[in-house]
Amino acid sequence: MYAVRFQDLSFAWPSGEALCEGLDLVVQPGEILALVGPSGCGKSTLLRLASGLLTPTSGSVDRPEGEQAFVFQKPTLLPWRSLRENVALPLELSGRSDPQGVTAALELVGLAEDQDKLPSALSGGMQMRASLARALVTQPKLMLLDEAFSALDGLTRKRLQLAFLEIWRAKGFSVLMVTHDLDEALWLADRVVVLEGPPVRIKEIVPVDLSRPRAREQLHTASFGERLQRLETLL
Amino acid sequence: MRSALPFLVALVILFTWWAFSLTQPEILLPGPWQVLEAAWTGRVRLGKGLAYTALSSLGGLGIASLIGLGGAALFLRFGWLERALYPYALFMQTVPIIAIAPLLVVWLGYGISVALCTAAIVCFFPILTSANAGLSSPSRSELELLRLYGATWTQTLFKLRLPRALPTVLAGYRSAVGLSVIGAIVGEFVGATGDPVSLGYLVISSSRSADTATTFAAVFASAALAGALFAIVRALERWAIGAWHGNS
Repeated sequence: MYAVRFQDLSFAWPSGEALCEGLDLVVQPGEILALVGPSGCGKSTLLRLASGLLTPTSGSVDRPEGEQAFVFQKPTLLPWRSLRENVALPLELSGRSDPQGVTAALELVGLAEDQDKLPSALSGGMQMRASLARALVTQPKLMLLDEAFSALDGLTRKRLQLAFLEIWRAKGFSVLMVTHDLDEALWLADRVVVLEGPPVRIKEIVPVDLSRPRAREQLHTASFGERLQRLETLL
Repeated sequence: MRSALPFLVALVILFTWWAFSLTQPEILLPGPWQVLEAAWTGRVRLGKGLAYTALSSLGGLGIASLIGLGGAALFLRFGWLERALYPYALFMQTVPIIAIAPLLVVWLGYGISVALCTAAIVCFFPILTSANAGLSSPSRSELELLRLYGATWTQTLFKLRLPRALPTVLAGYRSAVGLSVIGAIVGEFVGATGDPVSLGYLVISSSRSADTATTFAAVFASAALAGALFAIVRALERWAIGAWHGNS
């Protein structure tokens, strides 16, 4: 069983520049897997290959049937649509209508009161929450996060990470996330994959055996510090 | 004070015009009062001319919109079409309309069709280029978002590209409406018969009969027409940007 599986995956741009050669990686069902690595090593490309936005040159990306969702670094809300309309967009595009589902997704991220507002009326943190609600509305089995919390200020980021962990616990979807923030990777993930490249290669997979549910206090334990140091050494 | 500045400038221009007109014969430079008098005396003809030229301008704008917006959508859908046709669209923009107008009379005969064509030719390019730029303006993330959720080309056009393009397209229309009036009047210079009367015909016929005050009145009427169309587009732009950003 897997949520997404890269098998002997290779990808090259039309110019011939190889970004990935013979990579194998499995995201387990219900797992949060974080990809970290230097800028330009190909982390986001892996995410786009996982989502189907890019097609592998050779090898395969296997995903079981089911919805997937992608959360971008920026909220990517359409500014002329209200929050409610933004969240309903994925349903609308597939010809579905689920007003209760939209309300439930907005409630999950604490934005039910603001559903009629335009994105410009909301703070950056609220816009990111709305982006998360849009990802949740299709009840995804796999969530792909591309530095989803990186554009937020420190406090908002911590709050949203916490909210995300609660939603993940309640819904049980799998997560493949790209981040530059090692604290974030260790605090959210079950495993952290350290990448190098291009072409992107796995340098080491660091298991994170911190207990769940996780609390901010765990960030200050010796065990967390050791893992953080390990990741810093690897990078 | 800042909002009063344009009015102050207008007063200075009117005063200078009036003062200078006192030193010149009316046939060369009529004063503001003489132009007003000519406009009042010929108000029926001026009104009819204004309505006819407005019809030519708006008709030309409509034709240009069909070609410009439709062309931009086709360019977006078929990249090869853009590569094949864009140089010719650019070429049409560089050919002086006054040089084409007599040919249009030869092909289409006298009447409104010449003015419709000249108006459409001069204003389709800003519509095409602004629509082309606007439809290509969604970010990579926005396009990827719609692709991820399986949006079709038509869904992407109507749910993302068109709303994104609206402010850019309206900015293009700001240039296009003024050009449509110029194009219509140039068409009327060569293709109008005087029945029904048009502003272009009034300008030509009054200047030939040395009725300079009426020429001025017709010129001001055409400027007022362009100004009114520009104001309508500005109002639409404010509405679109208001819908875009909300009241926050």
